[in-house]
Amino acid sequence: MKDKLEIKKINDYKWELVLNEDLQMKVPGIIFSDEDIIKYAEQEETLKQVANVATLPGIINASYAMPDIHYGYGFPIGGVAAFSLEDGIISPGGVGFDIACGVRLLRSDLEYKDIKNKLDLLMSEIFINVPKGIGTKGRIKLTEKEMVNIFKDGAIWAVKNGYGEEEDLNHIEENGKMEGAEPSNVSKEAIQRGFDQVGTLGSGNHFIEVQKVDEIYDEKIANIFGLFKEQIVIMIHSGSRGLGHQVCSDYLKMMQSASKKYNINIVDKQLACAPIDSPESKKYYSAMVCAANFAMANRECISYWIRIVFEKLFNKSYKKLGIDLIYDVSHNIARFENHIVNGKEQKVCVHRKGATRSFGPNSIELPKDFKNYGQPVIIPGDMGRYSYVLIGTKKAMTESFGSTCHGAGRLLSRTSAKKKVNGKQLKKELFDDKGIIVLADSMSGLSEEAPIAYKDVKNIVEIAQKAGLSNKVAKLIPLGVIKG
Amino acid sequence: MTNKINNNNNFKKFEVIEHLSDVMVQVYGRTLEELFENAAYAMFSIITDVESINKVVLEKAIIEVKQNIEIEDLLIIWLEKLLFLIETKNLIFSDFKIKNLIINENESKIDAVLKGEKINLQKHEFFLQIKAPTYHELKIIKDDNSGIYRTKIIFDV
Repeated sequence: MKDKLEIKKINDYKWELVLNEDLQMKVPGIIFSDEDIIKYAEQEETLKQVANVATLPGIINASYAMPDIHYGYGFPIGGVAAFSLEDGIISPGGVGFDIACGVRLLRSDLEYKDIKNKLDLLMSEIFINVPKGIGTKGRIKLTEKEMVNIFKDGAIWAVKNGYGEEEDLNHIEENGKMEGAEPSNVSKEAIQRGFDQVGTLGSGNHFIEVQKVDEIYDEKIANIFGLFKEQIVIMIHSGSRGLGHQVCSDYLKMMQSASKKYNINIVDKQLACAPIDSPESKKYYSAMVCAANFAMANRECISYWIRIVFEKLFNKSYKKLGIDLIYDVSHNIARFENHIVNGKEQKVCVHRKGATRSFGPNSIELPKDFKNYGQPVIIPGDMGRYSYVLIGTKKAMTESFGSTCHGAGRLLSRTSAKKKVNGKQLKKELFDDKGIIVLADSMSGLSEEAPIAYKDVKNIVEIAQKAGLSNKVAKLIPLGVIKG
Repeated sequence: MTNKINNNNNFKKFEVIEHLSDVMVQVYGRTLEELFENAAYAMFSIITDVESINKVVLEKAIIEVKQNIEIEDLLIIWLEKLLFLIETKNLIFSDFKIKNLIINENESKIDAVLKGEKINLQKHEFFLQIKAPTYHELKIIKDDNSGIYRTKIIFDV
């Protein structure tokens, strides 16, 4: 067999990337996709990246590609891989630079009619009150001791320091605090980068959106999640900021030498890794947990300031306004999870890079409120169209190690988008055509995030549903958008 | 290493290459030092209008690594150092002079002087924030004929 990639259709929404030993693949690839996206992925050499992940030691079953798969580096974006504890690896590149980048959705008791005349003011106030953290300091001044507390306690730190609610914690993955943090494994440089950054949004595709629930697909689950039609909700997309980026950078370097030390032949430097039980992997994981806890604290703080803006505008406490957290998910992370492998329950290390956990009913990780139903999955679309709330499924547990997509995936490069779209013009059009208020510091950055630069998330979410990975609960449409 | 040649204004420092999700550049240099300087310049061009950055603040950047690393590793460390300075000292730079670049089995060093200014959001529009330079397709090659060094760099944004 030569180094040509071969795809076989398993069904309309599931494709196999045939195991090719010449490419050193240890398992096949499994791609959840329709016919169109498969063709697109082929062009983009994305499939080669799926195949590269399949070369990693101890990988179980397959190298998975979610419906929003696209070309990244090392792991593709939308890649999922689970590794055996005995002979598997941990790879910082399988998590990404923005460790625990993720999304959360806050609900409210407000309806569109309650805010439509205040939308302008609401968005300006949020824009002013949530720092982007680029060229500006955050609002929270930290000491090194406090940084250590954030690393250990995650969102619990935010709640303890008055930036959130105890009830929020049940509605964050791992109850807002991942276990296994070891702050001494976070470099001084990473800590220094993080000092001014807790409670900052970041830039690129990070955002805050005030949205309206436009459509409900599953009344029962929507009710459980606290969603109803015309409701005002708030979506936040952010991560671990410079701290997380530095942790990844630090450990990618360590892993370059570790790969050599453990004789792991890596086909792409961004796949550098070490055995799970090696000192290098243990150090990385413990630092990754610190960054993940920082990210969850970050989103909790951002939520707090948004809540306060609503309080001031409506002259009512945010609790009385019903601004509660539905759920908070991370889509760049490695976790130790129990899954059924070859009929037996086994602990594995699941890497999700641009993929969301999508656990089905009765998963022990789920909070009491959702345990009988499944995990909320929050999927942001582009700023001009829609986003979705989904629910995890039992099928996902066996199809994809309990994983689904994380967003729309890009269609155009940033350079192409900048050529096609004028940021100021886009802002005006979104307002004139759809009444969407967009606030952004950089018009150039805004043009790169234009709706036409992204795939239609509706298709992605349909494929995820048809593949059995997650089911639609509600569609949300943007009313106001803040870009970092 | 040889001393840096004075910059010829016509020499192309870098160009942007299409990449779907992030930003890729191809950087050039007549010497390794110049390649590193131009990589820094390219990175700041992604972040903001680099030519609008006044050269009023001088900052030293010293990198020392006491182990055997590859030249590409050193380039990554250099660029990461600059990102670190942006976020911790609120500085952005438009001029990069590498006075000394050493790479050998036992240690690697960069001794550089940077010129720039404090970030001023009224003046500097931030196009993008760079998360990190990546190893993807990073390979420093010296052209056999022209002697020009080049490499691709993908920045995670």
